[in-house]
Formats: sequence, structure tokens, C-alpha cells
Amino acid sequence: MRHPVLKMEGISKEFPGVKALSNVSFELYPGEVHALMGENGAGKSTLMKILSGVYSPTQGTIRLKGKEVTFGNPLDAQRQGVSIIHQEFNLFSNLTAAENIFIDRPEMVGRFGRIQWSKMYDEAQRLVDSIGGGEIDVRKEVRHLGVHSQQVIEIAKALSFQADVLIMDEPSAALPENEVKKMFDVVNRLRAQGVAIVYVSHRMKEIFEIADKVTVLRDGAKIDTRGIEEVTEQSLIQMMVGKEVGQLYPVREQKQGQEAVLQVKQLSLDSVHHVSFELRRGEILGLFGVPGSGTHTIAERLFGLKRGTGEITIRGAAVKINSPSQAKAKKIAYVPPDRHRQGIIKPMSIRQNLSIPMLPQLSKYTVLDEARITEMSREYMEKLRIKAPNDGQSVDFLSGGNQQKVVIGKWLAANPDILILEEPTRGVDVGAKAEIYHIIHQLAQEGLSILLISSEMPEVIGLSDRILVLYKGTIVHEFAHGEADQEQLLQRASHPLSEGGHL
Amino acid sequence: MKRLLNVHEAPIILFTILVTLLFSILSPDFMQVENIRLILDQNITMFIVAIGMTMVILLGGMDLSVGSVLAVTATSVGLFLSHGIHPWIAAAMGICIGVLCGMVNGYFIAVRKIPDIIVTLATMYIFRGIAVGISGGTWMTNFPEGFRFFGQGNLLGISFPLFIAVILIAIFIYVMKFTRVGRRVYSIGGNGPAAKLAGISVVRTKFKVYVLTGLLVGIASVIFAAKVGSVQASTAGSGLAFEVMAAVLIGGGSIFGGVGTIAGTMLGVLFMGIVKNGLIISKVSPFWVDAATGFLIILAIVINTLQRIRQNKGKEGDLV
Repeated sequence: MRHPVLKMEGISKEFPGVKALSNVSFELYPGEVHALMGENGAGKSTLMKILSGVYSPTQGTIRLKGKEVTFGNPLDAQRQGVSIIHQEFNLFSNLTAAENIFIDRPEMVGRFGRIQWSKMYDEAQRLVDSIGGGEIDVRKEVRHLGVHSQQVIEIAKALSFQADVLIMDEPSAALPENEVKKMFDVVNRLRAQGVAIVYVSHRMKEIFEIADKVTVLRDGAKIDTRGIEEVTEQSLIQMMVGKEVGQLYPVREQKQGQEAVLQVKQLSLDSVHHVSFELRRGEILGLFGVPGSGTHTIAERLFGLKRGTGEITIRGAAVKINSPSQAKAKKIAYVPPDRHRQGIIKPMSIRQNLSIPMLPQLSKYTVLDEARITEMSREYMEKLRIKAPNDGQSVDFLSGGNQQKVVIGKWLAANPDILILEEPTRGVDVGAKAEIYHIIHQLAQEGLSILLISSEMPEVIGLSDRILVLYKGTIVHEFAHGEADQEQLLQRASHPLSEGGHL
Repeated sequence: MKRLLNVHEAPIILFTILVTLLFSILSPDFMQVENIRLILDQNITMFIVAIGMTMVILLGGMDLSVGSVLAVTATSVGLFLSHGIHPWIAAAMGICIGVLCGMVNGYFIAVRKIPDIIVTLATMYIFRGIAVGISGGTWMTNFPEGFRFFGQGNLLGISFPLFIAVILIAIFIYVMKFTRVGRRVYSIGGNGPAAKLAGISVVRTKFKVYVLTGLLVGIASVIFAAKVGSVQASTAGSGLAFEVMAAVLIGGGSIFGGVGTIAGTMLGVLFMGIVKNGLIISKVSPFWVDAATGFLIILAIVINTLQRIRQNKGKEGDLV
């Protein structure tokens, strides 16, 4: 009987107000590739952050090779044999591959603090060769290397710490299709060397190709661990999504008209190919796809942040949208996915934030009409139930949910016909989520046409009248109202070639 | 009292009161009307240039070239005058040159998107070089009587430069607080991507701000030339950019943009003027003025940061 290299037992993690993980146990054996799956928010990343020393667990123990350990920080975890490779690489593009692998490591420093370059290059090359990266010149600066090579450098860096456990977070996300194979070769070599690998991914196909075992998390709890031969795509999806969509969502009345407000024909740009769809008056149209499928790009195109080919028609008239102000003039509004970076302006008050897109309308000869701004901000604070003592409150002091309402509110104030919502409830607590859903519903009832882009499946299913599924930049399926469930949606979005009918 | 402490300018106000008290105790000459008038008068150029710099810093930018713009403008005005051009027309032409300099900065920073520090570092040398070049290395002096009015004249009982400064300060406080332009500047500095998504033209706003700064420096340089009565192209306005940026920061501006007010900056200029004047009048060696200024910048920024941390307390989420 082999012994597990890693044994996590009864791990719980609480954040103020949220229980992110409850009583999760996880075992890992040498030389196995163990897939970790779960929906967004299921607790995967929290568990991996605990394992890699970013968080410490509220409860539970971690045993590494039989010894109980605690990790003070990521470096500590690395020294003890647990390394993580993030989806976004953490490399210094201005330094050589070898320097990246051995950055700030005392064993490479000789007498009088002199760096032993030849030793560093030799060691680095040996490490890279051992995982099949022989074609990489470790003396080259990282910025001259391709994505696959960069990933190899990341892996070599992890191995340089004598890693027993290697966590790979969405390792294929950054890679072009033809390089995924090469990455698998590297993983297979590592497996042969006895390294235990945690493979975090959304992509079903890959999991069945590379993993030995799979563990599924849902809502912060472990559902099960099974051998890969014991599961099918369907059974995995079922484990991931559980069952019902709760009462978070208002009941949609099919009230939308047939009149197409927005028509998109043969839209192509970046990784999006020939996308056509229409959005009707009062409709909530869901756009779903895994990260990189092109949903975000479509939103950016429609709001004039990117240019591309294809035709956009609003109420039958072809329009040109090449900048956000042009989009605004066409009565399109966009609630971006990253509230902090793209949404709120922190040093400003609620009323100032709300008035930003409407400045021309709220001023006369460039002088702001404070009375109208007050009126407007009162109206939208009430309508969106923004909780704050008054509209002069700085948005920096608001909770995530209220900040998000401010972002939505500033665009509603602009009185749009078309509202593009991208991740409207990211980082928002459940109570505020329900409120935002009701607001979205209400807006559609009032005749606003809404394009809803979200990576949260329950949200897309619970709110949308129709759902378009994107896969690699192409629309692969359309679900009519009430037709989609999470299993089918995920299947269409992650593996469109298989037939969905035989569930 | 608590509300008073939450006013953005609170630290600088307290600071100014404190040093005023200190110097009044150290020297009986300090709190004299004449001396206060002197302090204001000596810092007119600073006041006017600092208005522009506040807007630039609010955008999240900086302008190292203001001193050189002042030199090239003042030198040109001197040249115009020496060719017998009417003082009013010479002044107007000088101001136009300031605007032109602002357009050069604005073009490269806003339109070509070259980092402001690089552009203004370059134009700092270019404008200074042009000033020295056209002056031929000589002093501009012997300005006609009519021109001196801009620097030394009186209007409605106060000096003409002070009159102009007060009007400009009032206009720009109004613009920054009550007009669209102001709101755009604050939103771009507060969160550039969000401002862009809100349909604000970042390029146009940035360009405008640099042009306005050029205009303000142009006005300041006419006053400067008329007041001093002579201009040396190689030294006029040297060190001005840093002094003015210091005033903005002391006045509560954030070097990262989005935070700060014109009123705060004006107090910052006044504060620096008081310190300089006070140190000299209370017979501390004038050689220590620079060291004291530097120390005060650090102190002011520590205090501003403390105020921000205090306000951030009790707020959910992380500070880092």
C-alpha cells in the first residue's frame, strides 16, 4: 500500500461572513495527476491557496509525507515541497530563464555575494531538459520565449524546490491548442518522476485525457473523489452543479416583444468568428462560455472598445461604434466585469460616480446643474436600494454589492436602450445578488434590452430568456427559455462536439 | 469639530495656522500687514502656475517643464518689448507662446501617449534651450514704463498681479468644482479605465489641461517679467516645477491623481511662502530654507496619509 504524499484533513476556511470551505479532506499520492473540479465559487481556489500557503485554514490539518505541517507563506510551502503554477505566469520577462528559475536563491550565491552564473545556467538547463524542454536556451531572456516555454520555466522553477506536490491552475488556459499536447508531455514526465500533481481545470476533455483521479467540490464542500474510469462527463457535471437553482431568481414573465433592438451580423475580431445574433426589446439574452470563449470580446466590441468586421444594426439602422462615447450616443450601456478597475471611481462620492456618464445632460454650458444631479442621484439610490447615509458618501466606503449598484445605476441614469451586463454580481454577497437580480428583471420588464454575460451558470439560467453558448469564438448552441439546465449548458460550453441529448 | 477635520484641506489649514503662530512668536515683524502683503506678492507666480500643476497632478500626471515655459515666455516678451511692440500686445503674444508650449506637451502626452515625465523632461530642456538661444545669452531688461504695470501696478487698492491671481484662482476653483471639465479631470485621475468606459474623452481632457497649464504659465511669466524688471533666460523659473509640485502635495494632492483641490494647493503655496519668509525674518539663516521645505513636504505627506488611513478605518475590505 502506497502512502499519500499529501493528506489534508477536515479543512475549513471562514472569511468574515462566508464559509468558503467546510470540512474538506483531500489525499494525493506520488505520481498521480489529480483533477480538482468545481464551479466558480465552489472552493477550488481557496483550497489551493491553503495548500500553497497563501491562506491558513480555520480548521483542519495538512500532512506532508506523514508529517504535520503549517505554511506561513507561499515561499514556506515551496521550501517544504508544495509549489503552485498560476494561470497567469509570474515570470520576470526582462531576466533570463535561468535567473527566473533561481531568483533570489542562496544556493546560487558564492563567496563575497557573487552569483555563480555557470552553476545557475547548468542547473537550470538540467532542470529544463528533465521535463523535455531541451530546446529552450536558459540564457535567453524570458520575453523572447513562447508561452509553452514560459510554462516549462514555471514548472522548472517549481521543481527546483524539489517539489513533491505541484499545483497547476488552469494550465491550458494560456496555451494555444497545439501546445496543450506538449504540456501533457511535460505532465507525463513529472508523473513518471513521482511528482504528485493537482490539476485544476474546467476543461472536461483534458481531464479525461490526463487525470488519474478527480475530486469535485461544490459550495465549499467535497462531493467525492473518484478514479477517472469511474466517472463520465455527465456524472461529473452532475456532481459539480448539484440540483436546483434557488429562489434567488424572480419569475420571468415572457413579456418581451419581437422587435429586434440590436442585430449583430457576422461579427469577427480577435478570437471571435462570424457571430450573429439579435437582441429583442425587453429581452434578457444570456451569453455563456468558458473563459476565452469570446463573450468578453463581444461585449468590448459592442461598446466600441475594440474594432472588428461585421455589421451592427440598431432598430434596423446600421451603426458604427468605435468608441465608448459613440456607443453611449447609440444608447448602449456597459457594466464591465471588473468593478474596481473599470467601474467605480474610488475617490469620488456616490453622486459624482452616478453622474459621470451623464455629464453633458446634467450641465448647461459646461456648468453642472447640482439640483438635477441631486434629484437624479436620489432617484437611482432609491431605485437600486443603494445603502448609504447620503449621496455624498465616498464609494470607497461601500460594500461590494452597493458599489456594483452604483456602477449599474450610473448607466441606468444614462437611460439606455441596450444594457450589456458583464459579471454583474462578481464579488457580491448573496443578499445583494438577489437584489441585483430583481433589478435586472425589473429593467427588462420596463422594456430595456439586456445582454447578460456571466460565468455563473445559475445566474445565466435563472435570468435569461434565451441563452447563446459560445465555444472558441463561435456560437455553438441556443437554448430557448426554460430549456437549459446547468449540465447541458456546461456541456455545450466545454465540449460542444458531443451530443447533449442522451442525458 | 469632527466635520472640520474631515474637510479635505484640514491638515494644511492647521499647518498654516501653526507656522503662522510660531513665526508671530519668534518675530514681531512677521504679523505685519506689510510683511503679509510681501509674502503674497513674492509668490504670485507660484500661485498661478500651481493652479495648472494641480490639474495636471489631479489627472495623475506631472509637468516638469513649467519653469522652462516661464523662461521662454518671459524672454520672448522681453524681445518683443525691445522691438518696440506695445506692452499689451507683447504680453498677449507671450501668453500665446505659453499656450503653444502647453499644446506641444499636450500633443505628445495625450495624443501620442508618451509618458508625461519623459515628455516634460524633454521639453524642459527644449524650452529652456530656446529661451537661452533667442536671448543670445543676455539679460532682458529696460522694460518700458507701460509694461511695469503688469507687475507693479495697482488696481482697486490691491496690486495688479494679486488681482489677476485672485481672479484666476476663483475661476479655476469654480471650474474644478462646478463644471464638467473639473469632473472629467477628477474621474480620469481617479480611475482612467472607468472614465474611458463612461464615454469621457481622456485624450481631449488631458490635452486641454496641458494647454490650460501653458496658458497659466504664460500669464504668470508676464507678471514675473514685469515684476522683476529683468529676465535671464538661463535661470528664470529654474526649480519652479519642483516647488510647485511640492505645494500641490503639501496642499493634499495625491501624486497618483484623483485627489486634491485648487484651494488646498493655494494654501500649500502660501504655506511654503510663509515658511521661507518666516525663516528669514526670524533670523534663521536663509541657507536652511531648502532643507526646511523638504522636511515639511515629508511631514505634510505623512499627515495627509494619516488622515486618509483614519478615514479608511471602519471600512470593510482591505487597505492594501
